[in-house]
Amino acid sequence: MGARRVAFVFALAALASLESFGDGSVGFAQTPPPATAEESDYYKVDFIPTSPGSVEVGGLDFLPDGRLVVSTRHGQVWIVSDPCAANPADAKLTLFAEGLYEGLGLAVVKGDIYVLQRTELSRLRDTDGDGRCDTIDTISDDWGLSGNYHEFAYGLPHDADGNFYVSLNVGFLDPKWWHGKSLAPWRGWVLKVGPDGKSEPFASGLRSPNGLGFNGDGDLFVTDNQSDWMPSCPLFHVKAGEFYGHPASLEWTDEYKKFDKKASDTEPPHRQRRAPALWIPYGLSRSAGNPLLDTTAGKFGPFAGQMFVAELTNGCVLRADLEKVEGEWQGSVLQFRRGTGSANRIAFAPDGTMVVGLTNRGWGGAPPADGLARVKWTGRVPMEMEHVRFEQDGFLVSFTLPFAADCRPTAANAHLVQYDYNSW
Amino acid sequence: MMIIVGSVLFVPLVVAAVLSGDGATVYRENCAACHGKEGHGDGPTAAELKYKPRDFREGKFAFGNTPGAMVKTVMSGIPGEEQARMPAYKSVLSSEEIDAVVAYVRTMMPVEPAPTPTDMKLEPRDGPLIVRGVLPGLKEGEPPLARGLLIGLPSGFSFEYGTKPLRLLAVRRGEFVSRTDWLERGGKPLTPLGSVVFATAQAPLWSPFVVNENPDPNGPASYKPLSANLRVTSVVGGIPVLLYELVDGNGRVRARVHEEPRDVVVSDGSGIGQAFAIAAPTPASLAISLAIACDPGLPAFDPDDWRSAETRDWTLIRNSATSTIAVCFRLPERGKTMTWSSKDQASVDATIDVGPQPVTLKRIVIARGPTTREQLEKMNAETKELR
Repeated sequence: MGARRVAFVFALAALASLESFGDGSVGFAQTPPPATAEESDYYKVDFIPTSPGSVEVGGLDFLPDGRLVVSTRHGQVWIVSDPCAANPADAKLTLFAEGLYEGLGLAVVKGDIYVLQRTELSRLRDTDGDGRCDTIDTISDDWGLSGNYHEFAYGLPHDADGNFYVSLNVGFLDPKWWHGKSLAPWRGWVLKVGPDGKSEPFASGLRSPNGLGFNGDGDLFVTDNQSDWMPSCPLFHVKAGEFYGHPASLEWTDEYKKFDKKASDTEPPHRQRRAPALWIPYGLSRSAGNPLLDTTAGKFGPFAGQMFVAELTNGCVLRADLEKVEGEWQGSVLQFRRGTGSANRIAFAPDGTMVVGLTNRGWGGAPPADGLARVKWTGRVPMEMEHVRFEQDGFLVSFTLPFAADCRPTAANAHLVQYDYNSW
Repeated sequence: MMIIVGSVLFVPLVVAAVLSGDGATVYRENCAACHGKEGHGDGPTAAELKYKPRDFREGKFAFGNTPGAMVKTVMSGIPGEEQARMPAYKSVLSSEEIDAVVAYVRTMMPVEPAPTPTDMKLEPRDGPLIVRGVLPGLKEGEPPLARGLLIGLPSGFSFEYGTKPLRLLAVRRGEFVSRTDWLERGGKPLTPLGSVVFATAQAPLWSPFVVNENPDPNGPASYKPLSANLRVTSVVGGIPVLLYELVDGNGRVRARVHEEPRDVVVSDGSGIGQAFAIAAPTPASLAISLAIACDPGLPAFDPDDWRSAETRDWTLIRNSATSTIAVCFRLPERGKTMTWSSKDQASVDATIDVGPQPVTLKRIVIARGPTTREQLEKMNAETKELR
């Protein structure tokens, strides 16, 4: 346990302190604070107009020329010109492709658009230059589908070697739908798909892993959605061959296949699960989307190098600040910006705008239910916990701004709440 | 809905004997104690609970916000520890009462846009449309196919394929498809709107191609099945194209196929055609078995009649009794044989030698098509683009 356990509590201390954000108890050395600090004083949110229900976002990325590419749960791909225009109404959506089977992951690699459909990883090309996709290459379809409605495929980060990473939802059956089942190969796994299209099972033990992304060190992370075996939404550092807690996926391991062994719905398997870098407190997240590294080098404010996490149910974006302790990632997580709508995917535009892709059909989440939001830094630095670092004798909390002369943080006025989740 | 709190646990079970299907009444008597009179999550027992009951105004439903998902939640409850779970109501409320209370709760939620039937309907107007999704079984009782592909043509014909492995399942005519997978959480089957006019005999798991593994062309054939792996779908010049690899049991690519599903319109009728161009990285001897079956509603073929109805390099299978169906295969290869496996299924088997240069072959199925030699000649002329 040791450091891992302590780090868990420490993450929640950071959360608890957030509750005092904006209550006037902290000062801003650079700029006098507004009478009542609002999140919008620092990060403004607006929405690109879309027809209600038409753009249920599953994937986001940018073309080299700065246009935004959006894949949706309707199996469409839209290209958005001028996505960061001062007036969001100036951003225009043009249909690039339709007829896909969902699109819960999208990446632009060397100018080509890759979309993760439920059934396959595809490359979409416009070979005749008319602005519409006319050729779809199947890169990989090397995973199973039983036909269960909840067998989503999520993605789509890629590494420097050209490998893509895909995470696969388990199926939910009636009547005990909360006991997820791995009804076909690699449900509940992360897959690695090579540039040649060959895929390999990479890590297991996942439930509804709706979000993958890399940190600045090139380490892969995946979120999962709370429910069976996941007492709260985790952020896992994904390592090859590791197991992250949901037993259903183990049925595709040699150990289980050899004896036709079935995973128990209630008894933990013998195999030890790997702890997450973060358990995100339940109140903060009930449906986590993708983690996103802040690569904006300051264009998005003072959090360069940290990660943001889309949160669908609560309709917000979270901020995760990780550090490596004894070789393991751990850290803190905070509410970052509310009021975005049901955030399923987030991505940074070249100018540092965070684009938020929304959808909640069937899943439930804060309105707006679909479309595209934008979060822009106003240039004002919020008074926030910048880092929370684990020390031998406690936590070292640094802030984005100096405290006002008449405000002295002490152990006596710090407010801590400890959460403890039963996760074997 | 009620979250369990100590002695409050049994209250909803007692008062749940609501005979009326009126949602407001069901709600008041079963749900309001926790969720509040107006659904704000502030009922009289809410303060005793570990987690605040759902405030329906926020639209945050962790277990789904569609009517179906909410019905499921009410029926099954939400499992969890004491003071944090919601009881199941399936043995407390009738299904009508559950439907009614879900409808009532939905009036408290933010309005969710839902696609209309018009929104979901896709029609190929300016050119072919290719759509992927779950396909319903072709016959009642058949399970859905998780990996399906539809190619719709502006003429109203649509081709229905399974994609892993790739194989033609059926051809329909009529409107194209409704994207019923846009409803609820997704994952539901598409709804093809046309009527099945032709179907492959038994939706074979393997492609119609097999490879002769005996290197001696004069020796006895040793056929091994080939699976068809879809690699590309495209629309080129208004023509849909499928590119796929024929892979043997060892995962080795034995041939590549370029297939164009087409509609065929002739003066005597219309139908569908397929043009294949097959090439192999290393020379191989392939056998192809193309079979097609007619919709049972269409007149059956006469198996004794088609054998005599060949002309030039087309092979015609027709129904002479009603003059309504013609099936034509054009195979330039040796060893061509044709067989009937049933009254309404025509098939042709042939051996083709393939190498790097593509070999082409075609199949045409015409409804109300030619039945005489003269009509077939005419069809040949009119469908030359397929040859």
